[in-house]
Amino acid sequence: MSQFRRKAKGFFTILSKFILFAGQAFKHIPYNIRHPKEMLKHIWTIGVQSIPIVGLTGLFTGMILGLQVGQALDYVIAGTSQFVGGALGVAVIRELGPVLTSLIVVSRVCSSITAQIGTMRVTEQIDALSTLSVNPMRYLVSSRLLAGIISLPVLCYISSIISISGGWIMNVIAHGTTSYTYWYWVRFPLRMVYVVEAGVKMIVIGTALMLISTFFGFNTKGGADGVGKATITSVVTSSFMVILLDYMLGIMFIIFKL
Amino acid sequence: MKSINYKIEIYGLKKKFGDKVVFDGLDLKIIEGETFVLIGQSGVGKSVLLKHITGLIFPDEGEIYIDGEEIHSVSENRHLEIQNEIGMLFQGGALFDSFTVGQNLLFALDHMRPELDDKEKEIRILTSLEMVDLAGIEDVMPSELSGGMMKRVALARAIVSEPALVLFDEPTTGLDPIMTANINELIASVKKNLKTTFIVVTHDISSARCVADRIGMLYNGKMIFTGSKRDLDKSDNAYLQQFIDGSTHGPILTEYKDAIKKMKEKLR
Repeated sequence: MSQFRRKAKGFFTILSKFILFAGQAFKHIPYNIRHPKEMLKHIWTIGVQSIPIVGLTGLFTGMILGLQVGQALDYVIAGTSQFVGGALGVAVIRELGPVLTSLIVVSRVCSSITAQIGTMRVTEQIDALSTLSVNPMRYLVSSRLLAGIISLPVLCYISSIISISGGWIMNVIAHGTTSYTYWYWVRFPLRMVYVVEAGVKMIVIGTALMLISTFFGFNTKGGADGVGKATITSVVTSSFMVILLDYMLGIMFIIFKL
Repeated sequence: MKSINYKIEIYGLKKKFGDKVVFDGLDLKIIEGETFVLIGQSGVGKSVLLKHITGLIFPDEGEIYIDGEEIHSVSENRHLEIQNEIGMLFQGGALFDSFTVGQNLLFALDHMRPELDDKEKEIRILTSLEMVDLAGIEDVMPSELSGGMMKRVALARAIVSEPALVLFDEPTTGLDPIMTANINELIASVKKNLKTTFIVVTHDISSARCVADRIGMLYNGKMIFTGSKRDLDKSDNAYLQQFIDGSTHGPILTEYKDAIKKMKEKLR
């Protein structure tokens, strides 16, 4: 019982620290809007440099879905593979796009942010920033937070478009559907609110990912071992939060009939 | 009689990390323009004291004055202004590894002396690197530097803004004897050029003798000695003498063994 109490106390201590950390990070966002140099650098590394891997993952996911869902539909009712575009469009834009993009950002960006900031912490570079009159929260955290909020929705839309295009390639090649038919069925069930839903999800998830990865980096203790542990905790927490937030926001959009 | 100007005054400083008492009512005064060397064993709180002076750590109790201003009770803006007058050399250098040497120095100037124009900044960077005998390495990355060079670049970054107070955290730790002597000479020569207040933290007694105007020893959360180099040799303080001699017999080791014994009993 005492062990449970100790663990619960530890969890709530970290949670309260995280809330204070997030508050500080948001406080410095206006400064980073007025002085966007650092934020633009992070948009390059978080957003632009993620486009190839996000695009490739989206393409192959769309291609395999276009092939296999088409096959499954044909198996149930022959000739229905032409409707794949409808299912693929909605699934990719509402769920697969946001989740896949976020998980790639976790592995490519969040791990590197935690390791980088964690190394800066253990080698006293963060203390050095403070002694040079630079607020580390403003310089290291808020700039990345803003870059993540801007980059992730864009990455998600890029991934979704490429993914649906991948489905189109396979649907046309493997099932003989015409391009016109495929794109007609992609557009048919799509509603603007799904696109908005994906954007909202990515803004919320992007915020969570940037805060989690910078928080664990910022609170790294010890040497190389500490950096390793912080990175693992950051990646595991971020991956779990991607799925949880996607689920919660998805449910919210359904409950409120958005 | 000439009055003494104190750069730093510390009164009743108390700090605990968990159960560990680091400072237990520490009092210390640093005279303006002097090189004060703080000695003491590893883990006694020397670096923590420097971090209190820079404002990186807040005290549990007590007051720290820089030029007569209590640094933890001033506004955030005023605190930044005070911080702009402090340069610090960290134990491991703490150079930003994604920047070149020149960019490290420029970064310090951009934030501490934003009023300077590009030409003036360039001159300051060149002068600082010349002072540490490293002119011409502006484009080198920190990862390509040796330990001694890294410390010298860190020293250049600490002085590039010409601060009124420079803090050195273990400047010679991890260096070979020749490089240690070189860094000591460098600190003395930079001091001659800048004429600012230096606080040097070290557990190397020969380094302390080389650069100090005054020496202080920290033990058990308090200053147990402050005085000149001559006072150091004359002192009959058993703790200080054991530390200077590097002897394994004396009160420090006895208390250290007692502390370990208590810790083991507590764990049982």
